[in-house]
Amino acid sequence: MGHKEQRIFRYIWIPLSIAAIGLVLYFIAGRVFAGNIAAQISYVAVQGEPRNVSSNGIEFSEVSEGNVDEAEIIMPSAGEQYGEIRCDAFSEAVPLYYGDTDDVIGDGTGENPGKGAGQSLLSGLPGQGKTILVGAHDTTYFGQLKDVHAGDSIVLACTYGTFEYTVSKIDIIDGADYTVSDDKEQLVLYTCYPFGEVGKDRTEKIVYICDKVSGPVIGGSEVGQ
Amino acid sequence: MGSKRRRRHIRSKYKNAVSYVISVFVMLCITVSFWGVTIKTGLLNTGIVEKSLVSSGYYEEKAESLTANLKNMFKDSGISEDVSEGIITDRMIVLDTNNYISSTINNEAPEYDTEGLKTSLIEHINSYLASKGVTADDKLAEYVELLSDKAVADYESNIKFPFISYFMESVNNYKGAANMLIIIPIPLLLVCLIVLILMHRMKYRGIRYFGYGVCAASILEIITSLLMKRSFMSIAAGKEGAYFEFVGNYISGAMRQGIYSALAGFMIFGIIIIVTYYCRKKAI
Repeated sequence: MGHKEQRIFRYIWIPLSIAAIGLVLYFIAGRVFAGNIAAQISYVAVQGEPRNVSSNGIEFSEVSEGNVDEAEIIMPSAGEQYGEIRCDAFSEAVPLYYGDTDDVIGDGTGENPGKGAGQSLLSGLPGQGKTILVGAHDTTYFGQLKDVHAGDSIVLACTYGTFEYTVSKIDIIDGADYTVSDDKEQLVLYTCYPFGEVGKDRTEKIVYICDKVSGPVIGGSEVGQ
Repeated sequence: MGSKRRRRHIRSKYKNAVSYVISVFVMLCITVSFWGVTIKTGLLNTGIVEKSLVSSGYYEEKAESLTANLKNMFKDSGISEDVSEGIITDRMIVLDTNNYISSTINNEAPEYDTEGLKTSLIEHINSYLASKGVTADDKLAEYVELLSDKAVADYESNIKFPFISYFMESVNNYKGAANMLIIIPIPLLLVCLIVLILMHRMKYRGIRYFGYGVCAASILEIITSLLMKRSFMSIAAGKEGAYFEFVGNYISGAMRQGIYSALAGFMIFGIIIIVTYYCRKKAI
């Protein structure tokens, strides 16, 4: 091999060969690292998306005690916003919808961020004296739950009244089954857990169980007061 | 005599093989260091966030959407939508968004010039009413004030840039790890360089093997930066709006730091080539 060929071999082919070994190692092991970074960027980008919080023409009632005649309330239909969830720990109020389909809560990946938190149709409405089950994705509206602690106050401002609850317990459950109670009015907020780990297959849910502090009662029922 | 020459040949082959293995290790260490630099000066750099906001047209789109909210509010109140023009300006959005960003970075509560906005709103509404021949009495003035308060509250809740809170959370969580990625390979590289120099009788050959690792790391850094950028850009792919344009610009700007690190690596390789060339000439 002449001097010129030797130099080309030394300074081009050898580094390229070593780089090729590095590329193989990247595809074997380095992509996991890159995947974790991608998941973190995705979480920040989706959570950080500014949402245009306008009132959408919905008027919230400030009635926070007494009885409300059921006939006077316009019951929300599935997919309709009927309130918003407020908390000092939230940077912005979360719109509250009746129904928890993908159209309402989105798919949690950022392609469809949804419109707000969705209440299960199998649970009761605020003021009915039953459990109110509300869920949303942690990558969109309920990422804010991370800053909520036991003892914090959660307010549901609805079209027919304003209800206040206090977080009494925070649980982590496996799976999505939660038994809804008809004896006592509790607000249950839930989302995927651990927060923000979008790249992983998560089966756990974090559940915030909140006891009613104040708010009108629909139909004059004393249950749950 | 023949066996002595063969032993020397085998030892030399063995030395070259070990040198190549050390070169691969040098390449891995430097690549890890480059990734640390890309994360620290790219992905966790607030300067890149701020530059990307400007280049994506985020402020202009924000001004339009806040003006649209104002138009809806005026429409519901029976006031002409034209009254909302010129109240919310791009400059106001830039100042208040940057205020929100720097307050979040410094862990302070943001303060906006809401008095200025409220005064501007009231003035615009009053001049509209005057142009319609409506005389403002106390009740009307109270209603205009309430409407302005509502508009200011809407502005305050929508001017926020929540991305920066989650971004700063990531910065606090990962800047330590990024520093470790940069610092830990340095002593390992020094050890590799010393071993390579001591292994070879002609010291410049040891430095040359080190140079192979540097060059390979620079090549690998360019390739992996481009691959990672392509994978990260899927987050914003196909989505419309200035916010996702901002996310795309932020990712591009961040991964560009990896390319700059690689260029620095090539420069160091160039210096190594020059040093080894002169050492070889001196040895001859």
